Amino acid sequence: MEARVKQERLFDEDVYTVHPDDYRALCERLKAEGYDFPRAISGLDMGYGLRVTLHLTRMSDLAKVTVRTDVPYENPVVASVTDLWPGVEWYEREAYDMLGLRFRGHPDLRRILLEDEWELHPLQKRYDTGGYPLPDWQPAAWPDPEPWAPPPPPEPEEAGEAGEGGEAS
Amino acid sequence: MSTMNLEPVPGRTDEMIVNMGPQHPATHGVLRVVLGLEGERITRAVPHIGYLHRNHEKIEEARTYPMVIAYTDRMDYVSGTQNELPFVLAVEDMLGVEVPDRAKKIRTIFFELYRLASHLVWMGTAMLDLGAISPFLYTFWDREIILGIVEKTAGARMLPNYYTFGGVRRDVHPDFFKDVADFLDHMERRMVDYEHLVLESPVVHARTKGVGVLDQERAVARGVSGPVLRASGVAYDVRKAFPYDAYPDVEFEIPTSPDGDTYARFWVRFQEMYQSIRILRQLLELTPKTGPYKGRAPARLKPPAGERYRAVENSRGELGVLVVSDGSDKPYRVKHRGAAFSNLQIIPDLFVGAKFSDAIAILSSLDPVFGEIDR
Amino acid sequence: MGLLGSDERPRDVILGTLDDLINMARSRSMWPLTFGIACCAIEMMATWDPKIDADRFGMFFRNTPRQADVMIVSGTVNKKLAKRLRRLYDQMAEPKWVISMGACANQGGPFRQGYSVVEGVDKIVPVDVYIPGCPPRPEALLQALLLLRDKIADRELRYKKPREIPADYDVMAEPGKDGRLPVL
Repeated sequence: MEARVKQERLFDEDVYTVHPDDYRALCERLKAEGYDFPRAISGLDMGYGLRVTLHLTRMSDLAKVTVRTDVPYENPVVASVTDLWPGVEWYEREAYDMLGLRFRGHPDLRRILLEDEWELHPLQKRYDTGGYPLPDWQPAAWPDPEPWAPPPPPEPEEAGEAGEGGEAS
Repeated sequence: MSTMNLEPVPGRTDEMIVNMGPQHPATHGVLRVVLGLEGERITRAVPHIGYLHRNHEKIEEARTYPMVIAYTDRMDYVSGTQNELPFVLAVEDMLGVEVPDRAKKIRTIFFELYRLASHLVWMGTAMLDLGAISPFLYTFWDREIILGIVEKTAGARMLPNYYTFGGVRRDVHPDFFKDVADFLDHMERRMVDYEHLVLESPVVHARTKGVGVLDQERAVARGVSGPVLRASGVAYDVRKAFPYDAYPDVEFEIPTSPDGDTYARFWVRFQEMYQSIRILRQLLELTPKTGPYKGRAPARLKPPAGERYRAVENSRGELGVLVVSDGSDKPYRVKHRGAAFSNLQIIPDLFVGAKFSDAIAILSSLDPVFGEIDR
Repeated sequence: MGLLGSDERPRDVILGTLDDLINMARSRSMWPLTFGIACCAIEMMATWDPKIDADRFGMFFRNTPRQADVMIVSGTVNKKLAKRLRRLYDQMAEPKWVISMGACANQGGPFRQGYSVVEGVDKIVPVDVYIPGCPPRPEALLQALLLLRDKIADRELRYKKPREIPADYDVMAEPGKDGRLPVL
């Protein structure tokens, strides 16, 4: 697999930023590597699109990993990982409810906190706290390079630090 | 009906569909479960949540960092300051704030006091669900003592808004350490009574042993944490796994039970109360009586752009928060990982096949708090 | 027998309307509905604990709205819960009273202006007593219950009756807050 994935180290977690098409494959790989405890799925509105953040822990050695993937507003579809970790079922429903993210393959994708009749996905940044649309909100441009693009090769004089992966903040 | 989400099976006349909640004395709040019953046995169960959804995560995006702390209090309202800690820790990580040693210990004392308060509320209400009134009267008396200690220092009983970035908001009351020591003496005597009232009660044995068994693999895959996970035999405790504040300095054990039934969850909570008393005793010895209670935090809180996930072990399990900052004085996104939210997902697994009266016992052993589930 | 005809009143007879007697009896046996919603529900439970002990005023929780006289709205009411709350209120037998406990039930509290929160339970049900605080202390709830007792037995009409709310009031119909996207 030609990986469209960027790996970095943030604090004590390995963070993978991955193309949505490769998200499911990466999750299957992590499941095979023994990451068995799903902590949460967080949905985020990035301003240019929606982001799914999956937090996992491996119980045997307490390694933590975070998987992120970004999808555009027009087609916010991500593969569901409910069959790998049943514990994310409600988190995926919550992300659908709050942000409008749709999880392909989810067994029961309906609203969880709000009522079924609602059309609002309130955590999107285009709405204010009360659920009113903000009049002057415009989506930002898709980032370039793309979020999962690996960082450019280090300059020759900084080559000594490149092995650490960088303490990004 | 569309809102029931449980359609009768065509041609099946022996199944009755019963709605339980949101106003039900044994749902610990506003949970609603739609149950399919065949005689007394539960065939299907669909939980509905969201009756206490009060836009925590949206409204926190419109508040500055210190203001968010007051909102986190209102999530798991039974265990007060415990909710503030993950958010405070995450922002401290992003800002790089140093917390004085004494402040860490004071925070941990409050953390464990609220664990005792929360488990006392659980014990009273769980026994109410099983039909026993008197434990409620004892546990709430003891809870009032804890809240009195908290109120003397923090100024509020339930939702004190006491932690802050770099420590705590104000120094403890001069009587604080003596009050806590007196309370621990009292609590140790009371634990003997509680053992008699709850764990040794033949009614509790009959209603909980072998009921609602949750095996280890399913518990982990379902993301269950806290006493419910430890009752299934997994020794996962954030206090040991990813230590924070003063937990590296104290000795305690992680009580686990291999049984995974409702009684094991009762038992694990009891053992946790003993461990809390043990931790508090050590902290009373270790904490200096005077000294700094707050580190140096910047006056205008603007964490650098980035994100941080931090978790603590609150009374119900792993309470986490993902804080995303864009460099302004308001968080870009605050995502709460509720322990009770994950724990409640196993309702269909545990309810199906159980008897209707067992469902009440199972639910009270999960100890849900809806402020944190619905947010 | 001769009482009606004579001017002389015996000393052990108290004159008054039957309403006064009934209202006094009602005020001494207020039965609240067991309906805990949020943080305030824990303080509501603490009002019935041995320290405050509201039982001594003849107040006992009833689990079904058919047997309850008083509804204590103890917490934030959101739009999903609002319909259920109103249905519970409608199921209670007349006469009935409502106590709004805490800032959230009064006007939305810290969650005011959010998309899902009803800004005051008095938009759904008529409220007799409001308690400030977040959450109010158990003593405050006890005072509210005693105030309500005075109000029920009120002979001088010192207390106002709350505004009646139509049973079909729709919280979702508030402009821009119905959860539906407005047509632009």
